[in-house]
Amino acid sequence: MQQINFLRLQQEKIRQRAQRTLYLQLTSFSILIIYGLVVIGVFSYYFVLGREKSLLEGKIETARSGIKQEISIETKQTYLKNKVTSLTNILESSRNHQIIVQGILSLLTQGVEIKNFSVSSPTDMVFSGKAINFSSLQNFMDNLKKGELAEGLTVKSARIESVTLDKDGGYGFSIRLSLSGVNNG
Amino acid sequence: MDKKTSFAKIDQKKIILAVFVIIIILSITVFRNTIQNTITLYKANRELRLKLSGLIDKKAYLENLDDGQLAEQVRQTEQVFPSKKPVMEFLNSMKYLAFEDKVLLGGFSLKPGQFELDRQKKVKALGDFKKTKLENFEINLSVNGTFDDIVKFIKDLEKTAPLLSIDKIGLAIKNKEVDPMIVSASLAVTVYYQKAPDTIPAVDAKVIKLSEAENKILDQLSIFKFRPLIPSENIYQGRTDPFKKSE
Repeated sequence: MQQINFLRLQQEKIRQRAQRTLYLQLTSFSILIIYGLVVIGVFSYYFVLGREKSLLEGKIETARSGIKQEISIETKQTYLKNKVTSLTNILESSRNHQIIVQGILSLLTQGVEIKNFSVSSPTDMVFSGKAINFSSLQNFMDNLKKGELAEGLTVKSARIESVTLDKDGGYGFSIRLSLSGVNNG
Repeated sequence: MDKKTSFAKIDQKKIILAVFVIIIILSITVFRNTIQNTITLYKANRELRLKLSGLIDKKAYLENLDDGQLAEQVRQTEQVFPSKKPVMEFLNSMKYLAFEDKVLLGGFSLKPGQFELDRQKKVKALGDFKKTKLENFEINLSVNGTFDDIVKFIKDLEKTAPLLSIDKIGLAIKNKEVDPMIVSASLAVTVYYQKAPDTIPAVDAKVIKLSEAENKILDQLSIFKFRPLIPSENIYQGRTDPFKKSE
C-alpha cells in the first residue's frame, strides 16, 4: 500500500534550504579562515621584512666601517687609477715618437741637417732640413728611398713638399712621410 | 519549483561572489597601507641586499690588496708622473743626464708659470671617481755633442723621470769631417704631470679596480730613471757661519 506524504515537497524544500545554508556557512567560514590567514601572512611578512631590514642595515654599517678602515689602500688605488688612464696614452705616443726619432736619426747623412719635425698623426710626419750642396741632398734622398728607418719602421710613402735653393748654395727641403710599423692606437 | 531552485542557486553564487568582493574591497581599504608598506619594504630590502653584497665585495677586494706594494707603485708613479709641476725635477734630471751622456746642454727656454705651494689636503670620500686634468709644460733646449752621444741622450731622455715626450727635434751635423762627428740638436719637449685626486669615491660607490693592462703600464714605470733632488739644506750655501759654535 502506497503511502501518501503531503509534506514531501515541503520537506525537500527545507532540506535544500538547510543544505544551502550549510554550504553558505562552510564557504563563508573557509573564506574567513583564508582571509584571516592572508591577513596574518601579510602582517607576519611585514614584520619579517622589517626585521630583515634592520639586520641588513646593521651588516651594511659593519661593512662600511670595514671599508673606512681601508681608506689608505683605497686612496692609493684611486691615485693610481687616476694616473694610469693618462699614462696609457702618453706612453703609447711617447713610444711611437721614440721610434720615429730613431728613424729620423738613421736618415741623417753627411752635409744634411734636419731642422724640424712634427708628427701630425701616429703614422704621418713632416720634417724640414737643409743640405749643404746638391750631392748631399742626393745622398739623403737615396737613403730615404731605401724606405727602411729603424726597428721595423718603414716608409710607406714619401712626398717632397718643397725644395728651395738658398743664397749660400744650400738646398732647403720639406718632406712628408707616411710610416708603417708604428702603433696607431 | 525548479525555477525557484535554480534562482536560489544563482542567488547563492551571487551572495558568495558579493562576499568575496566585499572582503577584497574591505581588505584593500583597511590594509592598503600595510600592503603598500610591505611592498616598499620588500623593494628596499632587495636594494639593501645588493648594496651589502657590493660593500662585502669592495671590502674583500681592498683587504686583499697589498698596501706595501701599492705604496711602492704610488712612489714610483709620483717620481715619473708627478702631481705637481716638476720644473726643478726636470732641470735636475737634464743636468745629470747631460753629464752622464757627455753632451753640452744649453739654450734652455721654459716658462714654468705659477708655482704650486706645498699644502697637505685631506682626502674626502665623496661621490664617484673623478679623473683630474692632465697638465703639461713645454721646454726648448739644445744639446751639442758627438753624434753617438746625442743619440744616446735622446734615447735616455725618453726614459727619464719626469715623464716627457719629444715633440720637435732639429739635428744639424756641424762637422762630419772631424772624428767623432759633432752634432747639434735642438729639442722641444713636453713634460707631463697630473694632480692627485682630492677625493676618493664614497664608501658605497663601486670599488676602483686596476686592470691587468693597467698594472702592466705601472710596471713599465720602473724603466724610468729618477734622479732625486738634493735637499736644499745639504747644498753648500756660501760662507760658513763664523759664530756657529763647534760641536
